[in-house]
Amino acid sequence: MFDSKSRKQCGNEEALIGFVYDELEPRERREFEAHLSTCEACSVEAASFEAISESISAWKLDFERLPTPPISIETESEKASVPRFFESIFVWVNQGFGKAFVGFAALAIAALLGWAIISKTGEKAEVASAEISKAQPNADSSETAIDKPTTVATESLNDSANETGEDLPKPISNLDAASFKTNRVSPPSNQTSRRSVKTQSRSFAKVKHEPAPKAESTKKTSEAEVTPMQRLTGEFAIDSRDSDNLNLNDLLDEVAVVND
Amino acid sequence: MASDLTDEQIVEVAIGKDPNAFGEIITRWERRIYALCYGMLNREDEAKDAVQETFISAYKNLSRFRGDSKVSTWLHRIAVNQCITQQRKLKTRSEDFIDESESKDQRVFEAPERVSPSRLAEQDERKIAVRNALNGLPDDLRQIVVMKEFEEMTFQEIADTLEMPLSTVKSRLYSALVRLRKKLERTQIEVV
Repeated sequence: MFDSKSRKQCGNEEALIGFVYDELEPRERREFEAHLSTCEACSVEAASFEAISESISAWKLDFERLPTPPISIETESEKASVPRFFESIFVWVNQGFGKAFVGFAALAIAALLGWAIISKTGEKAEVASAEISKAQPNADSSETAIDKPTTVATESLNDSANETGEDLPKPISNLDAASFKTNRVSPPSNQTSRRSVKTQSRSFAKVKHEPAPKAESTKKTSEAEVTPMQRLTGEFAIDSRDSDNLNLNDLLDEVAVVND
Repeated sequence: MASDLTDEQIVEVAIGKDPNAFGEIITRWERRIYALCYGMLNREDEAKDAVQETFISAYKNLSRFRGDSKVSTWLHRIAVNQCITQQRKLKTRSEDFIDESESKDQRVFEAPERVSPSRLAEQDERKIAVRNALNGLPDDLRQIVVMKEFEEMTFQEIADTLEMPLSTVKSRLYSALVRLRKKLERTQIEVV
């Protein structure tokens, strides 16, 4: 057992520590070893310090078996990767120029969508007109003037379709001419005329999906399929006049008057 | 990063243009800082947290490093402060936990024969006693003992790191060992 009370300091503490931890110069070491042989207090103290150091070293062995823990630090460049990207976009959008850009982009998208819808609708109308123009030769030649622009457009459409190899609907050659006449008869009012053309498109669009030989029955079908809405708007009353009861010459005269 | 650069040069690079250069500082110092934290805190998990927090703190305050002191000095200061903060947290967090840990150590210490009567058990007993004695030292003394024993630094290195005279390091270490011896005497551990 070590009794510290009986020990006296002899003023060699620094040399003693250097000796215990082996950090003395060779000359200093020789001198201190010489001192230890004569100083019991220092000798005992050196032994006790060495024992403590050994105990700490034994404890240190536990530490040496432990792996170094991984150190992870998020650097600025890592931080700046994804969140900063979105953050900068958000800031930019909130600025004046950013807002203007977003507004412009929204308008452009809306315009593109509108154009796509209009062109799609126009394409359908042209296809319907193509049907009219193809059926035209069987009808009265006096009606050609009315449909001329549509026919030209349709032909060009057909040409382009042939170039691209698209299958356009077959012309309905054996449609009843009278049914076309009834559809084309329009009152002198511009509004009614537009409605009439619209109805033509509708009825031909319907015909387009039906087999050509059944064109004869088209008139009946269109009459049978009169919707309540058509009745209300009067569209049906104009377009579905019974062709058998109409005088063709009167109608042609009426058309000529309208054209004049 | 070139390994021939000094710590101070690497930190300069990390501050200036490449923050990732700090990784070289971590590579160079992580083991020694871990040893310091382990010796100061005496618990593996706490030491891991402390070493992690030390490097995070150093990285965050990289711009404050003016080069007046050495990087090692700077890291040791941060680490020791981190350990002290962690110890305070531990004390306030749960007295029960510390009591349980101490009583467990005490239990092993009181009945060594029953666990293992061999020399191994005696060494364990001594180890635990030294650990507890070291924990009882003031921070400044404990730090020097840990730097000497765990980091195996020379007196001059400790003096440079702590920016104190060589003689102060030696006298503090002497004082620390005297106190440890006294503590061990109280626990009836033979030190001679």
